[in-house]
Amino acid sequence: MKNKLLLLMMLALPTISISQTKEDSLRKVKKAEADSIFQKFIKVNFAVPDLPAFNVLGNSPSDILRPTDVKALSILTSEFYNGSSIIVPKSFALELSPFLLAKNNSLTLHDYQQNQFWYNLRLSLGTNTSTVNNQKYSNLAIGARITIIDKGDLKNDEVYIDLLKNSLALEVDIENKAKEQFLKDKNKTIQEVAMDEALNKEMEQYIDKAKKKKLEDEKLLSTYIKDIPKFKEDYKKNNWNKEKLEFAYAYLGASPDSLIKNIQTKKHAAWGTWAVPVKKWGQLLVGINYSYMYADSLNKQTDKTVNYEYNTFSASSRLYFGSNRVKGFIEGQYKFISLNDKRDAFLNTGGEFNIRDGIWLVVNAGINWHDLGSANSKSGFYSSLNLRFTLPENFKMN
Amino acid sequence: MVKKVKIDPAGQMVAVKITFEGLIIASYQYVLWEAQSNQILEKKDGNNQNPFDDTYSLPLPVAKNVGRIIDVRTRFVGLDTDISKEYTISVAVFQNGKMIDEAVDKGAITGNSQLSQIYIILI
Repeated sequence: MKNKLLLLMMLALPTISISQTKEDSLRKVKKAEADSIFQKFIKVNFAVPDLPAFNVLGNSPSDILRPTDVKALSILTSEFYNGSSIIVPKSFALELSPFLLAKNNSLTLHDYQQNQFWYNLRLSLGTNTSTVNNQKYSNLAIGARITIIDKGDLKNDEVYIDLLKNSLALEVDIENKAKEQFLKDKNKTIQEVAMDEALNKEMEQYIDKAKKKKLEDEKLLSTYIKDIPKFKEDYKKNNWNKEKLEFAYAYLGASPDSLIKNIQTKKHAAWGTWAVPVKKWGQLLVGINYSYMYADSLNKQTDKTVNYEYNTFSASSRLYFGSNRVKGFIEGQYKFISLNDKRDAFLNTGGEFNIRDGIWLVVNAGINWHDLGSANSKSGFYSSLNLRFTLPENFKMN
Repeated sequence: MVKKVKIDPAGQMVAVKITFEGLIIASYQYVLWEAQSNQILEKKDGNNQNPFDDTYSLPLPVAKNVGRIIDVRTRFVGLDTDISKEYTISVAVFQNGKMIDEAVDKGAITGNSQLSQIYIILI
C-alpha cells in the first residue's frame, strides 16, 4: 500500500529542473518547446536513465550513454498530470528486450547464461512533437543497444550463484534429514504423510523448527545465508562499479505531419561505452559517439531550402566516485563537428543521491566551450537539478 | 504436491526428469522411497545450473517400482524478479521413451528462499 502511494506521488509530482546558459537567447527560445518535452522524458523516468532512442534527440550536452541493467520492458512518458487532472501523455518512450519478453517466465538460468548476447539486446522507441519555425514536427526515434560485458550482472556472477546454491543445498539437506527423523519418531511412512494434509503440515512445522535449531550451529553459518534480501543488497552495493561494455545505435526521423511515409531522416547515431571499476570507490566511463546529421536551411536569396549533411564525433570520460547510493562525478568531453570544422568541449561535475528507495536526486553543473580555437569561440554555463524516479525494488502491484 | 502416476510394470525402464523454469537458482534432493516403508533407495543432490544431469533412472525390474515414492524437495531463490516473476518446477515420469505424466509446481517468485515439495506415488 505504501509503495502504491509512493508511485502515485511520483506520477503526480512536478519535475524539478533548473537550467542556465549564456548562449544566444533567440536560439534558446526556438529550442525551448522541443527541449522541454525531451527534458520531461528524461526527468520523469522509470528505471531508464539513458535510452538510445532519447539520447539521439540531443537533449543534453553530454554524449556519453551510460550502461544500464537489462529490463524486459521499461516505459517513459512525458507528464500525464497537468496539476489538476490526469491527461493523455503527449510523448512516450519504451525500451524492451524482445528475447526476454518472448521467453517471459519460461526462461531458464542455463538458457540465459548460454545466450546472454540475445537476452541483452534491447530495442527502444520514442515519439514526441516539436515546433520549429511555426512548423510542427512529429519525431520518431528508434534505438538498439547491446551489452557485451556486464560483470555487475548477478545472474552471471559465478561466486554469487555458488554462494546461494550452497546455502540452498544445505537448507534442503537439513530439511530432508529432519523429515526422516519425523517419520521415524511418528512411525509413519512417507506415503502416509504425503496423503494426509494435516500430518504433512505437522511434518513441515517440525522440519522448520528442527532447521532453525540446527542452523544455530556457528559452523553452518559460513555456508547458510539467513537473510537473502540483505545478502543480495550487500552484494549489489559491493559490485556497483563492475566492468561493463555497451554499444548502441539510434535513428531519428521527423515528419511534418503524423504520417510515417513523410518521415525524413534527421540523424543516425552510434555509441560505445566502457565502464571500468576504480578500486572499490569509483567507476570510470569512457565513451565515444558518432552522429551523421541531416539538416536544411532557407536560402533567403533564392527562397529555396538547402539540404546539407555533416557528422559529429565526440570522446567523453566520466568518473563516478562514492557508493551505490551516493555518487559524485566529474566528466570531460571533446566534440568535433564537421560542419565548418567546429570543435566543442564540455566539462561537467555533479552528484547522484538516492534520497530514498526509488527516488534519485541528480545535480550537475558544467561549462560548454563552442568553436574552440576560432574567432567566434564562446563559452556557456550549464547546470541542472533533476529528480529521477525509478520503481522501488520491492514494489509490487498487489 | 502429491500426484499418483501409473506405470506399466511390464514396460521398459522408468526415468524421472526434473526441470526448472524462471530465472532462479535452485538446489534440490531427489529421493526414492521404498513402498510402504521408510527405507531410502536412492538420494541424489542436484541444482538447476546444468539441465543435462537432472534425469534419474529408476531401478530394475520395473515392476518393483510400483508403490514407490519419488520425493523432490527444492529450495530456490529468484535472481531477477524484474525479469522473471514466476517459477515452474516439474517432475516428469518417462517410460518407453515417452512422458507418461508429470507433477508441476507453479508460483510467484518472491526473492527470498522458497520451498517446492513434490511427491509422486507410482501405481
